[in-house]
Amino acid sequence: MGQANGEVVVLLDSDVEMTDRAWLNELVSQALRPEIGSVGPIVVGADGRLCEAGRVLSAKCAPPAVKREAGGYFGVFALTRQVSALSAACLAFRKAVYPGRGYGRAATAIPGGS
Amino acid sequence: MVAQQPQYQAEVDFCLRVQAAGFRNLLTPHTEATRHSPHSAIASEPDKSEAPTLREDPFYSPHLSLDALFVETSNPSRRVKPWSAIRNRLASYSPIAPRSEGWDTKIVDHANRAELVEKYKREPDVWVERIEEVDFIWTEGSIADAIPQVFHGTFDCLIASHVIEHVPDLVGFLLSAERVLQPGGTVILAIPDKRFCFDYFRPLTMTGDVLEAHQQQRTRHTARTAYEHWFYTVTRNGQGAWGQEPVADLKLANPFSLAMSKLESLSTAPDAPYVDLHVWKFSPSSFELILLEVARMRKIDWRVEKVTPAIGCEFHAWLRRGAIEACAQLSDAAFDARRLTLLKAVVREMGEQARFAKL
Repeated sequence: MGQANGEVVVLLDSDVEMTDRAWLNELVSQALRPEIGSVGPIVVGADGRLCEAGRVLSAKCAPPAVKREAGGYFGVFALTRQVSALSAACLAFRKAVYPGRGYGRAATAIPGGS
Repeated sequence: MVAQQPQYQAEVDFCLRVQAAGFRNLLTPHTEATRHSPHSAIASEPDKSEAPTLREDPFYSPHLSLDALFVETSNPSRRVKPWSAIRNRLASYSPIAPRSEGWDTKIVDHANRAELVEKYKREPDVWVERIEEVDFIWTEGSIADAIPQVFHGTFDCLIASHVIEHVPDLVGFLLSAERVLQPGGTVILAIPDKRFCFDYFRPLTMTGDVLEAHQQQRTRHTARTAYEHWFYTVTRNGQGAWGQEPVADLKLANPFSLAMSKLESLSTAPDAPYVDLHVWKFSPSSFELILLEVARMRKIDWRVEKVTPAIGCEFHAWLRRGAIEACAQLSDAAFDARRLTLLKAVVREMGEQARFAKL
């Protein structure tokens, strides 16, 4: 983290591809808002099925393997919204909010699909 | 669709720490990442530093299911029912007849106001400002002895919410109530219904149990009570009290080994520190049956004037004097018929407990 010169950092998993030309505009424009900590996109599989749309911390099971177009419960996949946690596949944040290393003892969660 | 064990995830930890620092984590649907391999959580070395606690995700509706194959409405909802919160409104930290609202009340509790504020200040549902000054401290023995003689026979009403199930000598408590109330006074009790709280698997109290406790003038719980309490106490979805809802996710509150070690350290000597347990377990009809039988024995003069069905995790009972005389007027046949009616009602109540069970 100390090596980065910019104001905003984007973590990308090696197996993730950003197909949308404006993806960085969207993530950085949100990440620069002072009240925002981290920003993540919806993650879909290569087959178009949803992988992750935020994490549901108290859920016991994996997300439903639905099409991205299914829209989610009451269209939730179409909403910009606050969640408890995001996928590490693609995560943008200002360097200033980086909380440092040193993980908590028992943060547990399951990928959420709602 | 595979059920997964929750596991440590660095990104969840990251997001929770960002949130704890006062920032929001935002999901945007206006761009997408495409993943080309099956997901695997980032392996990392958790250390023992400060950890977030995760109980209920505030960004996932409690009306939605946690374990369904698809995101769908949860039946029953995980939302706490407003009527099951009634227990909180009646507890010591939330007076039912507050002086601040004009009631002429004397408050008896096991600790003074400052200690109660200290005890409850971290409880999310408790509004400690509402705790009123405690007049009389009652830690053990007879409640009548905790209240100065000058007040005996002067009170119109004694309200005890979630108290009697803890009192080692129940008959003694009710006799104390006779002393402190004026003869026309009323006892109002809120009592946990054993079918809808952590006493779920414990057997009902019968008249012989309370009489034996009174005969021994108990001020401490017995080892037998402790065995039962620690071995069989359960939680439902992590809660110790619920209501008329399907029973899901029951868990024994104490692993057997822990229950054993608690028992080994328990002293039942009369001068040992008091250990608080639930000793009496009632349903509305079993409670009424006990009071009827002890009145027939001319031991207690409290007659059940009214008893409610279970409301959430508890039921309420109103007691007035005159039970001994009322019972004495019944013929043996009429008295036994009344007992039999109540015994049958107890069985129906147990049937209701089973009806909510998905065991």
